[in-house]
Amino acid sequence: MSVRRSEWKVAVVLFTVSAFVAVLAPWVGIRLISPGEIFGWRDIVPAEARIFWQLRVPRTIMAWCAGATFGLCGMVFQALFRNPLAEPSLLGVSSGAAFGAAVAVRFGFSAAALGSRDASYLYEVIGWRRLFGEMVIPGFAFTGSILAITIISLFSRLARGASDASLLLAGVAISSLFSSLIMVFQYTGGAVETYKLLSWTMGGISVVGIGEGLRAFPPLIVAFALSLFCSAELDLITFGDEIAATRGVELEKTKRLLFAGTSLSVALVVANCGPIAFLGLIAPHMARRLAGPRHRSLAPCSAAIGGASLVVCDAAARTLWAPADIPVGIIICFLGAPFFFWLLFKPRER
Amino acid sequence: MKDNGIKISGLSLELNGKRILRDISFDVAPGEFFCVIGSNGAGKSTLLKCVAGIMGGYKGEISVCGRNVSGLSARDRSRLVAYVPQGFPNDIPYTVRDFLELSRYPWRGVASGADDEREITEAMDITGVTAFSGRRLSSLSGGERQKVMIASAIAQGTDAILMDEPTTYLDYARQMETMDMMSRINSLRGVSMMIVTHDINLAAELSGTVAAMSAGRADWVGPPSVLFDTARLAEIFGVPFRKYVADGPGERRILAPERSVL
Repeated sequence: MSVRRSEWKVAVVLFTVSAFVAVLAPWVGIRLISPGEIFGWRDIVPAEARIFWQLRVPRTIMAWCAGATFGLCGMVFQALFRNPLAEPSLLGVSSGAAFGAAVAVRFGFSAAALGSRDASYLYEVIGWRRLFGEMVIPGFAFTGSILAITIISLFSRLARGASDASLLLAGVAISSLFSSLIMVFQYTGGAVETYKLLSWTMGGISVVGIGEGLRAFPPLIVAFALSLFCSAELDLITFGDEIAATRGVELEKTKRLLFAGTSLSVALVVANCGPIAFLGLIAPHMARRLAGPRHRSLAPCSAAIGGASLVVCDAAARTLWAPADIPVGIIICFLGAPFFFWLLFKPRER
Repeated sequence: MKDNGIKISGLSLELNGKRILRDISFDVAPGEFFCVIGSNGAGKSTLLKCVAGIMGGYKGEISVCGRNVSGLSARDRSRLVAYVPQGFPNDIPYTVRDFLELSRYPWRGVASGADDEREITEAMDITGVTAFSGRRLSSLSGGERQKVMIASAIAQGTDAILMDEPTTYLDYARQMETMDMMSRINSLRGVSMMIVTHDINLAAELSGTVAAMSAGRADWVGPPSVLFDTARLAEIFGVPFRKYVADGPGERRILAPERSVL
């Protein structure tokens, strides 16, 4: 199916704006850094350069990719569940992933991805086990998210024709189940571990070094490739299962692929920066207003908006309460709650 | 003429221990307009869903254009049969044009852009949806949406079209329009049509063959003239029927339940 010119324009404009925001963000912070300080038409300040390259740039990359991934996954969920309020966090998939990651941390499989540098040093020493160590937390997170999405899709299949609200209630139930288990870990763990788990479950982005920032790409690539590859299928699934199946979509296979892919993406992002709610709701909805419903153009627009939003909120998170660096998830939740209310009460589009 | 008929043989289906279809066998001849009538819960819609490939797990065999439906991929099946469901979600944000383009999905990579365009234009012409092709489905009336659904089935470019009670929710004018549209598709494109309906007058006027179902069985299959046997109708629908002869030129007969007030 072709993409119309107007839709292309919207996607290009959004991407440009989004890239502009991302390029701007690293200069902003507790201390504004000027380009001269980094690129040296004044004196290069080593400390500033380190902050810029080692902290702010990787963090901005991570924020953009994570936001874009949440935007894409939210978009896919809304199509799969035929529900405008579906989103990885609200359906409990993020908490499933968070629970999986917390299990890995609590039982000491690896502390590397949660920001403990000693642990990653250990893996460095052990050499070949480093890669394995890198994959433990994402692996556990993936198991958790697959568990959650299996429960929720079983529910939506069993309670066929159930209202939007009951799907969300099931999501709330799954979320609180996993959250309670995480809280057990938080309560019974040591002080340092508890603090780390706590700030991580609030959804914060902390990366050091470009190398760590690159971890943000795999989930984005998976989500992006999948939603572009399956854009026509997503369009048809929006029309309901019967229409999709009789227009040639291999429903079971496609849904399984999309569920598995989005769970993987969500799990990887959650392993990186914790469960960040509402982005998967906000980004696709704004994108739909601008680019229309067709997924070929909706996907890049959701990614652009999700990415830019998280970059902006993250810049705010590390600046507003300086020197404290609050988890960005708190800001997103604060902004997302009124948005959610608006979605609940606005008249359905006609 | 190519064999685009539908063959159903020995079809039985059980759902949650309840027998929905019992040993149904009949053929829809190539290019025929075939109606399935019967009361609520007789299994008509289920039968149609089995042919459309959205209901599986049955015993027996269904073949379209000589190919066994259950062995086909969704895409291959969708090149043979199009399905117009009874109800349709009213919250779809896509435009009519979007939907028709998506209906070409089974031909992706096979048909050229020009083929797609030609099929879509023809479908819009036959159904008269061109005027509102830029509007969102969610903004259309029930009658308009029904036309779009039919247009989608045409655009899909299949050899057979299945429709589940296409006139049920429509007013009289829309019913007539829909009936005209269906007979035009049938005669213009030589598409085999299998229509599930409550409307015995529609069946009598348009169909080449009628099958009557009750309690999961195909009671009889025959030419529509059989419908004018009021005793048979009473048997199928469980209420006494009467035949009326209309005023005006030509001998028009109308069938209605005895108690209905016309």
